[in-house]
Amino acid sequence: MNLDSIEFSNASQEVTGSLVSGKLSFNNRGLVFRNPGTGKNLVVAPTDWEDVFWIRIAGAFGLKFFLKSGPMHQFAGFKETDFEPISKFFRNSYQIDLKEEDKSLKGWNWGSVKFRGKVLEFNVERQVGFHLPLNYVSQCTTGKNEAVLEFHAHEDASVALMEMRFYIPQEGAEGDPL
Amino acid sequence: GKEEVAGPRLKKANVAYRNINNFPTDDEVKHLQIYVDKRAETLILPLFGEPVPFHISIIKSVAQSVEGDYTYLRINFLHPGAPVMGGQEKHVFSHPEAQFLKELTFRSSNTKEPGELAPASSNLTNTFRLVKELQKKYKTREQEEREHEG
Repeated sequence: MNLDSIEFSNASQEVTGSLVSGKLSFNNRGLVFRNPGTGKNLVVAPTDWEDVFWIRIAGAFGLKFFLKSGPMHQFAGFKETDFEPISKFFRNSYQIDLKEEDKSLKGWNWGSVKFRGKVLEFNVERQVGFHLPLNYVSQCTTGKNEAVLEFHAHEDASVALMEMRFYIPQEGAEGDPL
Repeated sequence: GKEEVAGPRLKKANVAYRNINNFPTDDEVKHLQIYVDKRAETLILPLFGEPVPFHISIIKSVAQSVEGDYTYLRINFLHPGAPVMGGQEKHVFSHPEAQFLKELTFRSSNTKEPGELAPASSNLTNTFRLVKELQKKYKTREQEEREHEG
């Protein structure tokens, strides 16, 4: 099987916590997401893909792209049966493995913070708690044992995250993420 | 979950879900709103496009406020140094090197959009009420277990 492209017309891109519908394709240019609202295309060449993860989102599935240039792109709207053709296409066309994300379901608020490019990763016992794209942060302040992150609110998000505070054990345990 | 939280007595940390198949697929979760899972005693919060679980036992308090056209919901989590409710003692945790999520604030509009039955902020208002109920239920049960153990 050697297809030139695969297409998902009911995909959506995650933008500051909201989902924006559009068409996601993979072809010789790499990842192409067309937003019919703006008419704009997001194009990311596979040479800029650092890691790609297949993720589970509340009974549905998604894709998370970590780019060598730093940002993360996240898409939703896939079925379980999409994994096989997507991973096959990535392997054959781009020689890239689609990995499955190991997500924490423990429900704990303690763990460790690390950085993947311009993304903060909060891990709970070596499993992923959540990923925070640093470009969503509008302001960051640090106090004693504390880091406060404020976010740009998405206009269309019915529930928008405005602020997140971390407790940091000792000073110097974490650098300023910005 | 073998992680231990040292308190008045050593106690294993509660685990929200042991298996992905138990993770709720209700509309609120799918639509990236807040969802309170009474069965699993867990609050599911939308963080950067993904539903993330937080067990009720680590939630210290919730606060709700209305400012202009918006409702705000603040969720405070237990973390080292946080005072225990109603007492002078502080929470002590057996993993001092860990970083903790301490607080989250969400915002929703109080304006009802055309075609909607309720304003977006009803999700926050319901969450506030349901978390309070769940906390009460959880604390009562904990108390009973403690008394039972003597």
